[in-house]
Amino acid sequence: MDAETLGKLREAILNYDAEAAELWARRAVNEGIDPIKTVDALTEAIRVIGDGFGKGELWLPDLVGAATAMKSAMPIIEDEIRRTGKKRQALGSVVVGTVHGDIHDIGKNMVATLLAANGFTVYDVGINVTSAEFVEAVRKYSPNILAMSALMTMTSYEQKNVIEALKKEGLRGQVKIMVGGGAITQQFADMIGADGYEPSAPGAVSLAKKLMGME
Amino acid sequence: MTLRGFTVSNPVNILTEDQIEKIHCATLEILETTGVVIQHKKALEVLEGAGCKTDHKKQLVRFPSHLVEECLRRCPSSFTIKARESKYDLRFGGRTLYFMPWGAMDLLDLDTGARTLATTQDEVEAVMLIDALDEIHTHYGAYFNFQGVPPMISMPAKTAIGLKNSSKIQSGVCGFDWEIWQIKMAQATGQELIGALTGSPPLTWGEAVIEAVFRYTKVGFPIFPTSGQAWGGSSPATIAGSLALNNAELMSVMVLTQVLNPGNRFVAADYSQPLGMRTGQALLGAVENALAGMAFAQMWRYYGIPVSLAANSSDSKVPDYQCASEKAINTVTQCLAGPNLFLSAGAVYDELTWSPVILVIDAEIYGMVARIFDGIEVTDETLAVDLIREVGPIPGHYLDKAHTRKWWKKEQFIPVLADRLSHAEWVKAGSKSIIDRAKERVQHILSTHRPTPLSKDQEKAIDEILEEARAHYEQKGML
Repeated sequence: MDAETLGKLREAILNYDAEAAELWARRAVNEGIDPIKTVDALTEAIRVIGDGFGKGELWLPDLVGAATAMKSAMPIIEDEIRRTGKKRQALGSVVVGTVHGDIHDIGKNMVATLLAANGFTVYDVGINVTSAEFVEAVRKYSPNILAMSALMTMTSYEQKNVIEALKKEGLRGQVKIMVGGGAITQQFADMIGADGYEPSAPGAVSLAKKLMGME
Repeated sequence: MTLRGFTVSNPVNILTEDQIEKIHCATLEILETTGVVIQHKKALEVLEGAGCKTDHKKQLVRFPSHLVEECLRRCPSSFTIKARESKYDLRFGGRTLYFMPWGAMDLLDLDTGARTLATTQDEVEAVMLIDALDEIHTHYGAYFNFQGVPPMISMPAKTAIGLKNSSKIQSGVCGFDWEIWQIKMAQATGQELIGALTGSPPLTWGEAVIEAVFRYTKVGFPIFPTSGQAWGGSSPATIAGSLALNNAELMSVMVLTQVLNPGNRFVAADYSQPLGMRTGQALLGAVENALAGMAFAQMWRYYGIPVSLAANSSDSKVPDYQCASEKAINTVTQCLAGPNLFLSAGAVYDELTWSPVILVIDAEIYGMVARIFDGIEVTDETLAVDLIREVGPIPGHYLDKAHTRKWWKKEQFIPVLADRLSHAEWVKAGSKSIIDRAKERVQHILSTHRPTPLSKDQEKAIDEILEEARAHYEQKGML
C-alpha cells in the first residue's frame, strides 16, 4: 500500500499536479506511512525533474511546475514529521529570498527547487524581502547558508544592504552568503562581500555544497 | 532649435482594427476587474479620490474605464523636452524617431570577451561618444556600476558624468531616492530629465517607483515607465496577453500621473521580452520582440501617446553574427512601426554588457534604417524615361550623366564603417573587420570631440549635489 500511495505522489510531481500532490500527501499521512519515506519519494521525483532539466529535455515551466506541486505536498509531510518527532537527514539549511525592491521569484524558485531536491532544507522567505526580514529569518532558522536573488540591475545593490545589516546585528559570521540573479557577476559579488556567486541554478547546488565544505 | 531625429513617414501596422479594439478592451477589463497593486499609501488615496476602487489592505486599485480613457486624453500627443543647449531639445510625438543608448551592467572587453566592471573614465568616454554621434539623440549613459564607487552612489555619479560630458538630454532612473539627486542636478544645469520608471510585473508598482512618480510630476518632468515583463514568467506566454497586461500596467501609472498633474508628459515604453525557458533570463534578442514591439507601437499610436521601444540588444555574449543579426532584425522591424524613441544603442548581451565600439556601429545602422524610412521617390525625374531613351542600349551608360551625379548620393546610403572595398583593396588595407574600423572611429572621436562644457558654477553645483547624495546614503549606512 505504501508503494502505491507513494507512487501516486511521485506521479503527481512528475505530472506537475499540485492538487493531486496534496491529495496523495494527505493520503500518505492518513495511511500512517513513515513521513521520512514520503519525503524521500518527493525528493526522488523532483530529482527526476532536475535531471531532465539538466539534460535539456525539460524547461523552466516544467521545473517550476514540479516545484509548485512539491510545495503543496511538503507542509503536510513536515507537520507529520513534527508530530511523529522523526528526524530528517538534511545536507544543511538554506534561507532563500529575493531582495527588497525586487519581486521576481523565478530564479529563486529554480534554486530553491534544486537545493531541496538535493537534500537541503530550504526556507523560502519569498520576494521583496527587506534586510530586516532577512536578518529575522537568519536569526529564526540559523541556516548554514543565506541565498539571495536579485534579477534587476537596480535591485542587485540591495544584496549589499542585507550583508551590511547582518554585520550590524553580529550575524554575518554564522552564515555563508551566496548571491545570484541575471545582473550579477563574480566581480559584483566580491565587491559586496558575498561568499559565493553562481550564475546557474544547477551550479547553485554545487556552490552550496562547496560553502558547506562538502565539495 | 530642436534635434529633429529621423522621420518614419509610413509606419507599418501589424494589428488589424479589430485586434486593436480587442486588446484595448482586454486592457480596460484587467484594470477594472483585476486591478493593480500600488505599494504607496498616498497614491492609493489620490486614486481613490479620482474615482478608483481601492483596497488599502491589499494596496489594490481598480480603475474604472471612463477614468482611464479620460486620462489617456489628458496626455499630450506631442511635446518638447528641454536640453541645456536648445539645439538638443527633443520634440516627442508624431512621426519623429530618436535613438537612445540605455547602457548595461558592465563593459564588454572586445579583445577578451570578458564582462568588466567599468571605470568612471569609461563612462566619461561613452558619454563623449554619445555627445558626438549625430544618430544618437538622448541617452542614459553606458554602465550601471563603476570600479571604486559604492553601488548606492553610482547612479547619481553617472548622472553627474552625463551632465558634465554631454548637452544631450538624459534619462533619470528611480529607486533608493536616486531621482532626488538626478532632478536637482538637472535643475541646477537648466535642463529636464526623462523620468524613467521600472515596474514589477505582473500588475505591481513598488513604493520607490511610485514615490518617484510624485517627485517627477511635482517638477513636471516627463514620465517614461516600463513594465519589464518576461513572457511566460511575469506575464502570459502569449504576445497578445502580455501586450494587454503591459498596457494595463503602464496605464495604471499613466492614470496616477494624469491625476497628479493633468497634461504631464508621458511616454509609454515597452521593455517586454520572452522568458528564456532554460535560464530564466529575459531574451532581448528574440525575434518575437519585433512582433510585440510593432504591436505595442501601434497600440500607443492609436492612443495618441508617444511611444518608446527597446529591443536593440542580443542574447549573444560577443559581437558576432548572432549579435548583429538579432539587433538588426529587431531594429529594422520595430523602427518601421514608428516608435518615437528606440533603445538601446551600444548594448551587446541583454542589459548586461555594453561597448562603445558597438555604439558607433549601431549609429551607422540607424543611418541605414533611416534610409529605408525615406522610401522611394517616384517622379518624372526619378523615373528618368527621357534619360533612358538618351542612353539607349549598350554601349550607352549612365556614369557620365549629370542625373547620376545628382541622384546617386540621394539614393545610396554611404556607410563609414561597413566595408565596401574590393577583396584585393581590403587585404591591402589590413584585412580589417568592422570591429577594427569601429575601434579606430571611437579613438578618432575621443581625440577630436569636445562637448560643450558646463559653467564653473554648474560644475560646482553638481559636485555639491553629489556630495549631498553621498552624505545622505552614508547617514543611512548604505555606502
